[in-house]
Amino acid sequence: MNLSRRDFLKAIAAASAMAAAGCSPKKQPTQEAVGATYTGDVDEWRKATCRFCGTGCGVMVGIKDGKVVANKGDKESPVNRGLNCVKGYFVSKILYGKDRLTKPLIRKNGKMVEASWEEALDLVAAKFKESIAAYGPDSVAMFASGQMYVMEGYAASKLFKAGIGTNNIDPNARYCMASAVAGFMTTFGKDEPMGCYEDIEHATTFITWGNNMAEMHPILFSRVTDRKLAKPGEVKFFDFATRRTRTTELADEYLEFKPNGDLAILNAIANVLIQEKLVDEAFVAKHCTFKKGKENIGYGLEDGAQFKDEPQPMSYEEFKAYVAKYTPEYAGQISGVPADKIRMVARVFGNPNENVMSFWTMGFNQHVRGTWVNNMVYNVHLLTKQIGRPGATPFSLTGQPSACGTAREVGVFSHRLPADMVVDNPEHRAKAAKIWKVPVEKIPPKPGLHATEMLRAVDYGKVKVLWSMCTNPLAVSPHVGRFRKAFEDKKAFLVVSDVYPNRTTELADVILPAAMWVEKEGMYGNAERRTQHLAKCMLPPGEAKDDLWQLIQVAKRLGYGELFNYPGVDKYDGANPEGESELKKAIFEEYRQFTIGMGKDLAPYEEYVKQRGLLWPVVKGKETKRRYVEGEDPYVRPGTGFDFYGMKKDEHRAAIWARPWEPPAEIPDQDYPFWLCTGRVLEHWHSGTMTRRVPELKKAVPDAYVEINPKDAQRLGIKQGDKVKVVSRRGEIIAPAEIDGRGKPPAGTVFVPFFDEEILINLVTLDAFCPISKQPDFKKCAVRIEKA
Amino acid sequence: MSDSAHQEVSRRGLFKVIAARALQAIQEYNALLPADRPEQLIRPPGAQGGTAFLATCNRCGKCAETCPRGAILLQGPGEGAAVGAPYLEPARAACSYCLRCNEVCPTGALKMEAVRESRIGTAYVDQERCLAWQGGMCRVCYDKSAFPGTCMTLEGLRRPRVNPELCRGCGSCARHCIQSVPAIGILPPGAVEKE
Repeated sequence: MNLSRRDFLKAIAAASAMAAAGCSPKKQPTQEAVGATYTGDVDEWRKATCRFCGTGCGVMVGIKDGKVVANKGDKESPVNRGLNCVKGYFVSKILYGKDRLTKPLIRKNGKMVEASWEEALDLVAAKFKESIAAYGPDSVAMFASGQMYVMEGYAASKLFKAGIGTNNIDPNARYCMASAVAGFMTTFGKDEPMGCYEDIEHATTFITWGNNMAEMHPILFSRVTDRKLAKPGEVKFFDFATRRTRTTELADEYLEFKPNGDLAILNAIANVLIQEKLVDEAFVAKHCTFKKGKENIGYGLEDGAQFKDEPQPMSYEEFKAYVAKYTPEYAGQISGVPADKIRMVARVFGNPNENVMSFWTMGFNQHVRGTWVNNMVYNVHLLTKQIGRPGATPFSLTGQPSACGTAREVGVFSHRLPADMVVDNPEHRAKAAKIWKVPVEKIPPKPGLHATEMLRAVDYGKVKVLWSMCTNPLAVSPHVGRFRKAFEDKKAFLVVSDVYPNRTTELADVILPAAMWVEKEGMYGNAERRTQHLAKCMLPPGEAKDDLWQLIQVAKRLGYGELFNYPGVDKYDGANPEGESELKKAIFEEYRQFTIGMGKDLAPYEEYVKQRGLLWPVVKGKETKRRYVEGEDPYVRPGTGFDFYGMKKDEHRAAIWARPWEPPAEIPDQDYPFWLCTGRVLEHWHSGTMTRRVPELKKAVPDAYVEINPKDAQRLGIKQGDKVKVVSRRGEIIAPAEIDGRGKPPAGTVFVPFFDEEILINLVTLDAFCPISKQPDFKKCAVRIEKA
Repeated sequence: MSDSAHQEVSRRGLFKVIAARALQAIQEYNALLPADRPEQLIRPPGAQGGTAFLATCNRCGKCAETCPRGAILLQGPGEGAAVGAPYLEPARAACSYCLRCNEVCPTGALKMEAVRESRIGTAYVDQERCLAWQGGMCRVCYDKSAFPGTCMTLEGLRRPRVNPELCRGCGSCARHCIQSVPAIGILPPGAVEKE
């Protein structure tokens, strides 16, 4: 008998497929059967984007008998060109976890019991009213999300700022993008990257800064990999990092630095550029200005910590003198990166024949000097004009699917309004009040509580009612033990809108079951300014309802119904499609008014329904690939070549900032001798609420672990898989040791991923943050390691 | 208690007689088979190819009993002459090549001379089903393979390739394929590649 490989594999595949399908073709879709491996027929494919990271990959969603059964990479999407990462491949399985929340739940005598929507919403509204009457509007707050749709973020922001009259609304994006925002606003006066993904195919040198792009932005990294491997020896890749990762495998140079060493390295690069006359003097003279701010700015560790930077103008000569002390040798001493390597990287920046593309995400943003380090990377790109040319651009990658589109562009932050406006600017408030049709006095001028402070305020008694939507703050917040205890002690009434039980719902007083992803129509905005529309593909399960509907229902009960008097609002029941498109289009079109003429122009709603997203500003139907560049960006004044029009008060010049190196907040010592870094893995999304319910992803990486250097492990007698205790001054966890795993920390450092709700590493982390951006530093605190 | 124990013993005794008869029959039957008949199943390490293995294995099942991973299964009734012979499904439970099965084998049917020169099978990636070959980003099999970078390599840092020279068919990679229908199979040594 002859058995070919193909026959053999076919037989295995057929047998397994029969088993997986339960041999019953008529069954309802189950989690096992749906996804990219679905082989049955499909009634219709609809367009959406992936629900996970900020890349914004296009996915086509297959529907059969009114249910989502399949998904595949969208070949027409310019982002991913039909490809998916392992999470995206299984994205539709997140709809079918067995324990979806499908009924409103209310805590009665300590137990969560089923309730009607009427009862649950009435209770939420009553608690809001009660608290506002007794303690004022600043006693209520919302913890929002960069995973909310544009319309949801907009409605939430409008309800709090124009209705309730508090700025206490802040997103989980505070934990992920706030330093990027502060960096953009202080350097360019406009948020979000100037370049686009297409720059990858034109770059000659890639630099990752504390960024494991291979796991966190795998599809973009595949484009980087393709670019580099297609031009062997021509395209370079440098990986500046604090541990070896999968990203390092592509690198020509792995440049390991000590925590906060990046500040010294970037100043040294600027210094070398000046010393070796590699600065593009004409560009700097015409388009840049120099500034310095406050120094020795603390870490925000005290409750209610306040900080306001005071920018001072500076001359170019003063800047030269400022960075002169950061010789490569001095930076090498601080960071551990050899001086000659710093010089080498500086010379690549200074070579006009190179197109340098820098990438960073949480390594820079979750940093006690996050704003500074964002400023500094722009410094070196501006000094060398590695900006605005295809392939030459600094590129701030985004973590969440709509951190840009919703949290940042809509301004779902405690200090922001839509389209880069802020609450403490009277003109901005006036413009918002006009569009929102409320008296301008309605919008409070004082910024509200940022995410970390909001949770602290629960503990110190200022916030009495907190509504968490589409996020898991009691798993992902720094020093989370303090906040969990505050809710355990019933210091505030907690309302949670979510799709699965998680570490936040377990402490909730009311759980509102939410519709997720393609169970509702919506919009996301990705990291390259691409606004994308997601079609509704099926009804939510049970009584689960759209977050937008939940917001409007509570608004009505609080007496702010007129703020949401949009067409379709009375027809839409939060689940069925009647009135849904009408309502969402109307909200989007109102929001769009904010963007027009602000350099953030969005296209009419229908355009997004048809197209594979558009890069804003979209002016006269044309998207913008590269901002600030004449010929590409319609906002650039003719004849200027470049125009940093966000810097109106600085003669349209981008700011180069003099920022110092300063040490981290908590440094390992005798009692706590290790650095702890936290982060994600490819297979799991954030706190794992969704991905840990997808069998394939759960199988790939079932539980969290402690990555530890082999030398440290040997010294402590720890073997692969041994239970290890990670202890800080705030808390401890126990997890198995991972030696020589996918990430390889240097001696003296451990890494723990945060996706595992049973191993809550944030019990250990520190709530120090960048005083300018208020973004916490999840990447460095001091811990002790023990064999458990 | 004592009654049933007694029964057990006598039952076992009966089986021994039957088994001995059956073995004789099997060996006679196997001797009639063509020597070049390829194996369809993955046999434990050290198994001689083709019918030679079935001819020497006495179906005692000790290899299955001793396997620390429980990776060795026994062929069931309906398998004709091969009933009771050991085999593996490496994609379900991988072989660690500890060779304890060789140590306990009373007939020498499992006798590995050198791990480098012998193998239970060879892994094969079905590129049409593999997420990485389809353009996606997944490398679980590579990370979990016995010797990443040796028995399995990554083409373009992404796509897993089995090194047929060094792969021993242990199944570590296949066992960890995240697809519900795995994209990696272990082919027995006799399987020939056509087409």
